[in-house]
Amino acid sequence: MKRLAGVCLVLWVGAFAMVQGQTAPPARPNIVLMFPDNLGWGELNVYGGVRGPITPRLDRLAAEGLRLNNFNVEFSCTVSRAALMTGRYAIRTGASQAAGFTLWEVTIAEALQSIGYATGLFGKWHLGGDRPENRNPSQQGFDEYYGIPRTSNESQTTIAQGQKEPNTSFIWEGSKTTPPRNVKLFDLQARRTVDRESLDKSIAFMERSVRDKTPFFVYYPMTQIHFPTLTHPDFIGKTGAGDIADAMAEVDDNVGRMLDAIDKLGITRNTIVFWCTDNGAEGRRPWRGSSGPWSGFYNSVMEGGIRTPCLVRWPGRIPAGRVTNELVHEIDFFPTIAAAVGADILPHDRAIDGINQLPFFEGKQQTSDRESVLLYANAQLRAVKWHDWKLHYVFAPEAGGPAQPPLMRLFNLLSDPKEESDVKDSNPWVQSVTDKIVNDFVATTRRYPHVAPNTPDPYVPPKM
Amino acid sequence: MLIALLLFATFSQSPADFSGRWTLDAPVVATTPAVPGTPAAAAAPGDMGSGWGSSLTIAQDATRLSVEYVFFSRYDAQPPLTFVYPLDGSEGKNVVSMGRGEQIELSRARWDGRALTITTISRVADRGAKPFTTEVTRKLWLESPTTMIVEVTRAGVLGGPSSTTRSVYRKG
Repeated sequence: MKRLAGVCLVLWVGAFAMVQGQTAPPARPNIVLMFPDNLGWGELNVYGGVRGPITPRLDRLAAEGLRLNNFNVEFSCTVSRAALMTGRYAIRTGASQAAGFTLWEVTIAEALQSIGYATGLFGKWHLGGDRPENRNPSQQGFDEYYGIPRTSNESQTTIAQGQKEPNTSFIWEGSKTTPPRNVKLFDLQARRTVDRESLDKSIAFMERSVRDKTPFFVYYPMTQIHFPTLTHPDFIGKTGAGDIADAMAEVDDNVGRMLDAIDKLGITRNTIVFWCTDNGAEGRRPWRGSSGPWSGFYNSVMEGGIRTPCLVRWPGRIPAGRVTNELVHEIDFFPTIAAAVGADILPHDRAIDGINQLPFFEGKQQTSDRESVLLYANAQLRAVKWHDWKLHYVFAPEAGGPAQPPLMRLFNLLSDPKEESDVKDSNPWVQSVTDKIVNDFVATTRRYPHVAPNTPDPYVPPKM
Repeated sequence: MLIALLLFATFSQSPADFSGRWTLDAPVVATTPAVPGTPAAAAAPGDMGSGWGSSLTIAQDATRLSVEYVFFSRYDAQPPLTFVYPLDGSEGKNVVSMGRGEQIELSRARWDGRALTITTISRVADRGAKPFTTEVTRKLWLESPTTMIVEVTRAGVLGGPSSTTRSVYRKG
């Protein structure tokens, strides 16, 4: 009897150990976030691209993951990056080109760093304002970084944002242990090569992280296809379809190189790949981009300014080849990543507007939990999207152009994707819905006031 | 003097006659506060308009009032939008086609002194929401023989607030 009891005990302990082994938490996924610049809907084949079959790697990425057809972003560069990094509408952060945002903001990188992730930024920052050395990526959670502090058009003049003298614009690098250092002048030649250099550094960073057995977050904010749309020498004239097509071929090639590196490192199934763009199509001639079926360009809240391509891949977790028209916003990435890594890393002392989209991405639910999108142009609320409706409170279809009366216009984006036929007369009820969305948002600001633009560090939120 | 008094008495007591061609005069003015935080409130409050466009034609007799306005361009080759409202208390039905199927509007009109109030009910079956009913109330009155006010109240739906807009039209 004792012997039988002993055998049972051994079996029980063994089974317990097996169960323990099975329930041990899996390794946390790596995150690769590729974020090209001013790249509109009409530039990818898989989104109905207009410039020929020049994006085979992106098309394949779409086939391997989820393609979002109603992915929304902020209308311009800095505010979009602020929203992406914080999971908050940029209006809350006070982000501006001139000042960036305060160090009080908690970024995805900061949150992942806090649970042991290696974090690297390779490409464009543009969240540090005119004095980015005081608001640099390593102060916002990146272990290391390389790229441009501000934006691509500085290469035309080599004059940095907020400066007057030539040769003040540089490619920089830094880390959490070393302050920012100017690597070389950011001129038209450097503009051509910065994306490839940033990619190479991204890959080297991934290799080191894998070797160190450390989960990583690579943020690769490409500078293409922002003006001046001048490509790497390997791609000059490559497509025969113009500079933007050449730049897209370069973007596609860099994406392919990144994906190949992930494969080579043997981490494909444990790496979430996001590829999306910061705002709508480049609108400045001679490098005017394509907004695909939408009207408008970046710096407007027309669909062409705020609805951009987005691909997400996580083999084994996100079903391949799925296409959806459900509402998703870039602010959803932070909560979604938090869910994916299984850690409570979202800050709890401020309003977070993002929604965890992981169950939707994984196909566990057919619909997105996001029902609406607020569309600000800096401090001005321009429009609200709710389901397939879009009510403009201030209709200003041209980037930087004046508002056009009647200011309030309503469009149904399924029956009128170009926002041409104002149907508020026959659907005036929509205003009630969108007013409530705005009221609810404004109500949150009583507890969590917006950080004012140009707020200096250290920012301390008022006690409410 | 007597004639003037008689004309005034007639104007002030009998149902108003809104017949004629009317053109939106001033920017619309919201009579309820616009949504806090919406710059539209400061820029051009309540710009939802009357729902009848900026230039409209009204035909009226003892039994009905019809409102016609041009929505489509000439290129669209579509007739003007026409809405007919019985004035005998019965329910009127208008069908609107704006490229999303037929939208049915059921309306009842009633006189309140010289003002005419038209209440319109529609059923909305929006993708992603349970079907619900919307109500729009328009109150029309003549401030003078050449000035018509159209005050529109859009009832709240799905927990949202109502809103009211007042539009001023001039004859001609």
